[in-house]
Amino acid sequence: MSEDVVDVLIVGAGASGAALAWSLLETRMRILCLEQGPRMHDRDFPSRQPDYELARYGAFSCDPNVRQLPQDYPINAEDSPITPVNFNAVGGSTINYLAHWPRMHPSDFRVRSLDGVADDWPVDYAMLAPFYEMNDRNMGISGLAGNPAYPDYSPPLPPIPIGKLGQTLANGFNALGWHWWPSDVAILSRDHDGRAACVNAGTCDLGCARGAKASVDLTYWQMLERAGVEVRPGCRVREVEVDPKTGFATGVLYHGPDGQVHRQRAEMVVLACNGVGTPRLLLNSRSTLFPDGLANRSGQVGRNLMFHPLTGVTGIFDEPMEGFKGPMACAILSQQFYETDPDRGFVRGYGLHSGRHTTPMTYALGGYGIDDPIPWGQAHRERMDEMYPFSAGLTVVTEDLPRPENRVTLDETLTDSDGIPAPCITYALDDNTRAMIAHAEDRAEEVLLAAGARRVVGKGRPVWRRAGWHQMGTARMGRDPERSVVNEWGRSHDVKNLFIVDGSIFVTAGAVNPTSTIQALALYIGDRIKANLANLFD
Amino acid sequence: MAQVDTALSDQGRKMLDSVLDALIPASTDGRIPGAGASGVGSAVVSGLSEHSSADLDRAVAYVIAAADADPGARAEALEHSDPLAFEALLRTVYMAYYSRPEIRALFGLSPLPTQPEGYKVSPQPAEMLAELAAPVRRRGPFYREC
Repeated sequence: MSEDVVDVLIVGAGASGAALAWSLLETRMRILCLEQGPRMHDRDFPSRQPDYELARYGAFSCDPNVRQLPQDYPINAEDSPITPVNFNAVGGSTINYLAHWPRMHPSDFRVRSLDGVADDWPVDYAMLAPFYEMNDRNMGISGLAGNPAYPDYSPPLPPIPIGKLGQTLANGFNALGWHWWPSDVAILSRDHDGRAACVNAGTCDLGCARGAKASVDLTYWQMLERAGVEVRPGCRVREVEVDPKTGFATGVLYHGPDGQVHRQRAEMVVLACNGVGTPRLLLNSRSTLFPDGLANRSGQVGRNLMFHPLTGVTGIFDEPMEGFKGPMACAILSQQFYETDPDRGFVRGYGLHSGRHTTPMTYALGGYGIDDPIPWGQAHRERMDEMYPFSAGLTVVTEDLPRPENRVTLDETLTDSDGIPAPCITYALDDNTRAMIAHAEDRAEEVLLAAGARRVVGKGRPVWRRAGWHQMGTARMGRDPERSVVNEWGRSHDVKNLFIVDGSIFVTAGAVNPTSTIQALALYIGDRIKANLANLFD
Repeated sequence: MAQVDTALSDQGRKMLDSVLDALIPASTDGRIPGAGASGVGSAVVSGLSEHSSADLDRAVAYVIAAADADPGARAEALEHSDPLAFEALLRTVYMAYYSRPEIRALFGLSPLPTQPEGYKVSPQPAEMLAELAAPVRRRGPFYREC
């Protein structure tokens, strides 16, 4: 057991941990990051292998229950229509994310005040705006300035091509007079900062061997390791330790690559393990001071789990849409129905994001994130010859509202390979989300027909199961220690030297992919830590 | 699965191929071969390493057991009598068939790994995008101030 003490110990080398570490570089504090996954290299990515698509259903599946790699922990999601997905490596889930990069709207931070539901955040869009911009520069974001759905901002790089599919859908939105805009993406539209531009290979989920997709191993960690920050791969944290006298975190116990349990001491502990991994670690860190889990005097740890329930509607057009060309999830998006309109019969809103149909194999197996193979026999032939090439889809991305009964707990029997209790998901859709989905599918059909589709398919199907990319709310931030886990700058109400910076601190979910906001928030928290260094733990 | 492969008679192999052709038939113009004719049978019986399973073993054993049966009817019977085995067979066939470079090419994809070459996408002149987005800009900001 080492008695070596670092200044800052970050658990998790993904999107938020990397951003927080970068923010703290200028303090010259000694920073160590423990990551349960390995360090990946471009040669490890399946996109350079002849059978690359098979990896999507095996060792590079987004679902840890499918991958079952030594660094993965199982997740019991039997009591949920959506199963959480992730990746464990230096870079975290940015290794296999699809790099769609929309920001949250100003209204997303004022949900209680504007719409009378959920809670307001203790931060707002204006406070985060400089950190969105800083992060966009660090990640290399491509997009088109002037999106009227947001206060003005300019992505640092021009947009990626929206392709024939994007242009077709854009014409449909224009015909109806509805909002659409080229997607902001963490994918390079041109060579930038030593990384090469996207070549439209369509394998974003299989690791971008070219490096065009901004996974944080290629962005933040390059800067961090050059500056002397240590990342230690293959280290799975089992528990955060607390001094029973002071109530301060003293460090962690972790399983190292040598199979032994090690102790790492630290002045400050930062959790960056995502909206499932962080509550799991807190709930596994029980002590006499915290018998219900660390930092859980509010009882909110693990509660208010939010995903973005997803469905898809597909238009069949007369001309080939070339859906296998280009980034998998990013061409254009519409936020016409993002804000609350009481006439619609639900609160909050949703986005319609263009979706590509990737490769014939993925299409035949039901689509990305869906386990529902298309029919066999003559019907199969018709689907593949008459629909697949001519398909352009719209993904419905709905805002999920926080509910305490949707939660992460510890499974009573399931463990990872080190014997640490696995997370168990209890989650259900509510009536608001169902009404939102029904409305969204009808609007998607309208726009696809307006874009020239001769036929629309896919309405009324269940939400996509293997699509719990966005895990939020399970250690939420707030000013009231009775109703939240961390304060307005990410510090635990209960443990003054424990910070959380991942999606678990979200108060509400918005209806956009969260990584941009997760990192902006991590940079904001880093800024607050620096501003409060003199009395950080008071 | 390798044991099934070596034990497979010519008749059994023929039956397997015909069932695979029933699962993914050839296109009517003959341009795209069916799954059996494309050689997927070898991949099915030798297993797809990490994807092989007892369910798949059972499915193969079932389809080769009745040499004279109508292939479509045989597949349908398996689908009803042993859904898990049928699903394993179907998924394996889809994976094996669509991972074949010559099949990918018939759908316009690169027969090779897509990285590092990727695909050409028509350039998007800034003027074209500006024109396409002009109606959206004209409507002005519509986010809620707060």
